[in-house]
Amino acid sequence: MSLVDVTRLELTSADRSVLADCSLTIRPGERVGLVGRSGSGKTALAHALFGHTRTGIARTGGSVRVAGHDPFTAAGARRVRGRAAAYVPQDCASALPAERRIGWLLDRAARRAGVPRAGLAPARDAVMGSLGLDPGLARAFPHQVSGGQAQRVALATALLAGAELLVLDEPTSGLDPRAAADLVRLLRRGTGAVAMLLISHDHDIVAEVTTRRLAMEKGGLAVGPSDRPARPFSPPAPAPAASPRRSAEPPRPGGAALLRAEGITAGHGAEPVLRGTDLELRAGECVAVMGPSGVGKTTLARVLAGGLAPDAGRLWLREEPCPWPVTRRRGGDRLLVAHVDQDSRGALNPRETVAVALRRARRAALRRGLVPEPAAELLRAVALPAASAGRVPGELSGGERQRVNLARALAAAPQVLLCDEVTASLDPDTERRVLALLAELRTERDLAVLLITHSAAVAATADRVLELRHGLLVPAVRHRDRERV
Amino acid sequence: MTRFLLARLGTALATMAVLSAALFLATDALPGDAAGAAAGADATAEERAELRERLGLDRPVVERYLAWLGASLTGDLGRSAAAGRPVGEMLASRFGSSVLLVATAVVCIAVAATMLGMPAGLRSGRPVDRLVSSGTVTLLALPEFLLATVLLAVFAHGAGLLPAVSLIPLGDSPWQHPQALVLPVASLFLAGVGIATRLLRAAVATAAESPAVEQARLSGERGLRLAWSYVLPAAAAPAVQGLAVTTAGLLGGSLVVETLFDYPGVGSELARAVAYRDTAVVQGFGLALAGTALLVLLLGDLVSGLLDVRSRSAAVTGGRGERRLR
Repeated sequence: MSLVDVTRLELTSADRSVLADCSLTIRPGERVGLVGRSGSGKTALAHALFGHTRTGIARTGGSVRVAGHDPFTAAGARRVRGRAAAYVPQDCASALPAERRIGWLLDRAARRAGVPRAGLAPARDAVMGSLGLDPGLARAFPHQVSGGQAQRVALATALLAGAELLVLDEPTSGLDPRAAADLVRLLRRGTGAVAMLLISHDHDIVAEVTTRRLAMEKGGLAVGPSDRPARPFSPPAPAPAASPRRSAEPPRPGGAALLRAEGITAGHGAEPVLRGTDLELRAGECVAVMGPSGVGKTTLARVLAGGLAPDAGRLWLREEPCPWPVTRRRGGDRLLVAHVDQDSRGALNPRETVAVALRRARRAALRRGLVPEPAAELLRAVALPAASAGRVPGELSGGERQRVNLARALAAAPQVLLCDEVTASLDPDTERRVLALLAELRTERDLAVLLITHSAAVAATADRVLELRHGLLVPAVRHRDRERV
Repeated sequence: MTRFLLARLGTALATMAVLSAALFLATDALPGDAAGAAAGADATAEERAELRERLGLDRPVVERYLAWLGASLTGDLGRSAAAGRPVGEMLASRFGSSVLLVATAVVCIAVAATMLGMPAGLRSGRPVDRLVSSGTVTLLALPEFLLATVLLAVFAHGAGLLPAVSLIPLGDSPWQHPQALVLPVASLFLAGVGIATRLLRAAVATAAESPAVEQARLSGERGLRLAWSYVLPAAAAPAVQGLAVTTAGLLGGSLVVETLFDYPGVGSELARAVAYRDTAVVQGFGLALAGTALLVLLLGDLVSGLLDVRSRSAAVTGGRGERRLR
């Protein structure tokens, strides 16, 4: 008997079909990979296994059985959710309850699985140890951990549930290559005979972890294109416009430092993650920042964007001293730096349509006498369909939300763009388009780009690659070597 | 957090200063004054002028305001022209009763708003929500005096279960006569429960749509555990502020309710003082009510700030916790 049996499932939202005639079976212990373009309905299918549809989406046909239960009934949902199946969501940072400590969250997961009170601490320590999480993190609140750590915490709660089926939605998107490799190793060997549905745009990881691959195409499932022997990871072709400047030659003469920061010290609690970090960004330049998860990359972006005040450090914009908080920057300086946050769900107003979000950003630019691109043009540039303008973030996929975030940042016609894992949830095709767009903006508009990424291939499109290590930015060693999984 | 607290305290003090000036000028601008009332209807113009001079009412308004403010800060609120007693003493004897009345109503409101607002917010758009929402809108539309009058007609005059007038022997606390508290508390409860429930419902509905709650549902959390451990903590901060606003509004509502039931609180005495043009009492009691309302709002902000774990961390921008700019 199969563990998962999805028969002709049909999901529809008000204006489009999300899934049509989608059938899927997973045998006990089988590991299935699911790839597909951003927005093709991968997450909607994962949710359907738990009997859940997001607001606006409805099941219009077909049936779902997980371990023999129909999750769309109340009794079935009780047996499936957190029992027969466990879910690791995309955007883990905002999927952890902000008011609860990590330890509480793990204990709840263990309690749901029937672990007695006395067994909670050992169970928690074991799972944290196996995922490489510091035991001290049990005392931390979700806002105090990095994106990669949040991802591992979510995985830990799923493992604690002791389910027969693990559904992982983009589990490696926030992880640095080392952590991603660790995770892949763990998923391959450390999860026992658990069946798995792994959703990822990263064909490589899917190939390594799973035994059968499926591709989501236009709401239906097909045998995956990657259902062939694992191939070495092929990085996206470097964006053509970027290549002339990719040599190690110094920045072009006359290129003024748009943004310069010295001695940034920042972080949560007593132990700062940034300890006197310096950074300079010139017009048209692209600087990649790499480093293991939790090292302070996101903190650096938030500090530069003016959303998080550092404990120390000085900032110059266009060679003029500038205060840190964006609210205290002068009018013209406020729009100079745009920030695309890693947590794409948290960064967008859930009640606001894409069109409204873009219009607000464009108006801000128009008030300052800047010339932003038309909204339709921006959507096209980030490879989003024009119809997405009328949707709210909840109706978009993770990858689509990320690109909306990018489009909104560009709508304010910035001169400096801080991109925090902006391609992390994108399939290789879309990732290439986004990188090409950034390259184009750098040549045409002299946009300076700070590219925070875990992917060596993405970093390779930058002029300089820096690594955040022990709170300092240092030139990355061997950055041309693609240390990939 | 400390910076936030100091800034918030500063704002409250500035608001208090503006309010006290507005209060003083408004009572001063009212036609007729204590001298007129105290001298009686058949007093001559000379007698009134003499009385006015004796009471210091002929000095310029700014001078009188500053003198009054200075005296108020040292605890001397002046002397009632009608009763002849110090205002501070009158306030002390009545303040406790009013606090008891409003606090009892607020506790009832907090419990009822949670019990109604949680299910409504968690099932927004469904029948439970529609029922609660239309019920609370109806309550919101009804003014306190109407609610109180209906309660009086039904429970006091119709059924005769409860006293129509909250007669409390001098020197006794309302606690010793709970039956006298029931109708005033019920009126205030009905006046405030609508807005409090709606504010809580909105906070819960927002929290219920959050990714964290979605993930909790998918992990198998449901029912009371989901509501209590995941939704309520996320909704608590805005809900506490909503309750603080409701409480501040009830302080004003208590004036009407206390007068209707003749409850021996600040509100009924204030209404009487307005009728007698007893300026010192109006100013003193008004100042106390305004100060209490500001204090309640300040407490609401403080508690909701403490509930936000992000504001407790060391990295704080402008005192409001790590707020990412979007």
